[in-house]
Parts: sequence; structure tokens; C-alpha cells
Amino acid sequence: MEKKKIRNDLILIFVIFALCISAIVIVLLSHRRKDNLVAKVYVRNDVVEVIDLSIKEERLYEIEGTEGYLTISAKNGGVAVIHSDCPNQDCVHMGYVYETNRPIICIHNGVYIIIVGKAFNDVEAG
Amino acid sequence: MKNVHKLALIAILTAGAIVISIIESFIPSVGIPGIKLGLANILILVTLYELGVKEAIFVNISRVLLSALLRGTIFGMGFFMSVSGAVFSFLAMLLLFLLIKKFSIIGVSVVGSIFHVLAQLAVAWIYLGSVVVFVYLPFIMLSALLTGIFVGAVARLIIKTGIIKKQKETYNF
Repeated sequence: MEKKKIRNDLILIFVIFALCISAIVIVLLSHRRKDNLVAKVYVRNDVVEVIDLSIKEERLYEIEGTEGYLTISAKNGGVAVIHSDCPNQDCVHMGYVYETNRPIICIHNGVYIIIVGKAFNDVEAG
Repeated sequence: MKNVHKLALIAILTAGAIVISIIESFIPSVGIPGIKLGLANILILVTLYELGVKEAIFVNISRVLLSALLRGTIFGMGFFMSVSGAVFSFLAMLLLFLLIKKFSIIGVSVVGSIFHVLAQLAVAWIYLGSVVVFVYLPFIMLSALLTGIFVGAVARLIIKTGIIKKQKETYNF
């Protein structure tokens, strides 16, 4: 009985592991790096800022989230949250993001930032 | 809960679960802020296996409320994620423990851990109103799988030492 349960455990663990690994591969492969990118900043599903990433100089944007303010910086084709009024600062720790498959999510402020191609402006990436 | 010894034991388990919850809040989460892995499930599982369903529900509710109060995050976004994670993970574990009975404590813990992150992800999805949160799903699932194995193994070790069984026999509850 105990042996059978452990065998079931192993099957379960293996199935979940295989699913995760294949999904991770798909996400990593879906990354496209293009020159014509924009970063879209959303506050609870409304676009509040569209940042052109082709400009090299650093630009700062102040965004009002649901709980406080965020400062977003864009330079050299990347975008980062450099200040946020949230308890756990995880979005700040992510640093600059250059890829289309790595959205910055700040759940406490209801803010998320995704990088999309200019041509695909109205298609949601991810 | 008429037995004083049982009450004391439940209090110790609750205190332990709260400490684990607070320590866990210092560990940065994968991809989406606020998603926790559910290490406190170690003591929830021990309670469920050794003392019973009612006691485990009690420990779980006190754990969620008290750790949120102590961290000052009560009724924030993180609190709702933590509540939904605790509820769904507990329901999933209960289903496997009481009805399906085909998995050992490690399998039960893995399923609990996965439902813990899925529920939190669902709250994030509803709040943001965007499927963008699911980009991180595979990474979060993988970390939940590893946490689940770890949690189950630790809970199994605690049960194997027989500390709680000895208490139960000495003070018969």
C-alpha cells in the first residue's frame, strides 16, 4: 500500500515536472528581439503610457498606481521600475527588461509593463 | 478542545506556522510579487495527519490572520492572495487526504503547493484583468513543485519522529 502510494507520488511529480519544463521552453523560445519595440504601461488593464524603446537617452515617467506612485525609467531599449510605493519592491529588483516575454508586474499597484513590437500595437503579447 | 494538552499542542503548531509564514515573507517571489510558496504547509500537514481536519482548519485560519496582523499586511492585496492560496491549497489537500487516498504525504503536499500558487495567480489575474500573469506560470509551478516535495518530506520527518504521537498517547486525546 505504502509502496503504491510512493509510486503514484513519483508519477505525479514526473508529470508536473515534464509539463513545467516544456512550458518553460515554449516561453523562452517565444522571445523575439526586434528593434521596433515599445513598452506599454497598464494600470488595471488601461494603457497609461506607451514608451518608445528606440531612443537611447534615459527618460523617466511618473505613473499613478492603485496604491501609490511608480517611477519608470527607459533607456537603451530597456524598461525598468526604479521606484515603487509597495511593500516588497520585487518589480524594482527585476531591473531593466529588454525581452518581450518578461512582463514587469507590480501587483500591489495594479501595474504591469509589457514590451511589444510597434507593428503589433494592439495585439497583447503573452 | 477540552483537553488542555491538546490545546497547548495546537497552540505550538499555530505559533510555528506563523513563524514560518513570516520568515517566508522575506523570501523574494518568482516573477510576480506577492506570490508565496507556502512553506507553512509543513505544520498544516502535520496537524492534518496527526490531529485531524478540524484542528488543521483551526491552525490554518489562525496562521493566515495572525501572520497578516503581525506583518501589518491585513486586507491588502497580499492578504487576499494569501487567503485564497491557503483556502484552495487546503481544500485540494483535504480532497486527496480524505477521498482519493492514493498519494503519500509528499504527493498531497505537492498538490497543495500547486493549488496554493494557482489560487494566488488567479487572484492576480482577476485584479490586473490580464492574462499577462500566466507568462510566469511554468516558473512558478516548477518552484511550487520543488517546495511541495520539500514540505512533504519535512512533514513526513516530523511525523516519523513520533513527538505528536507520544503526546497523544501520554495525555490520551
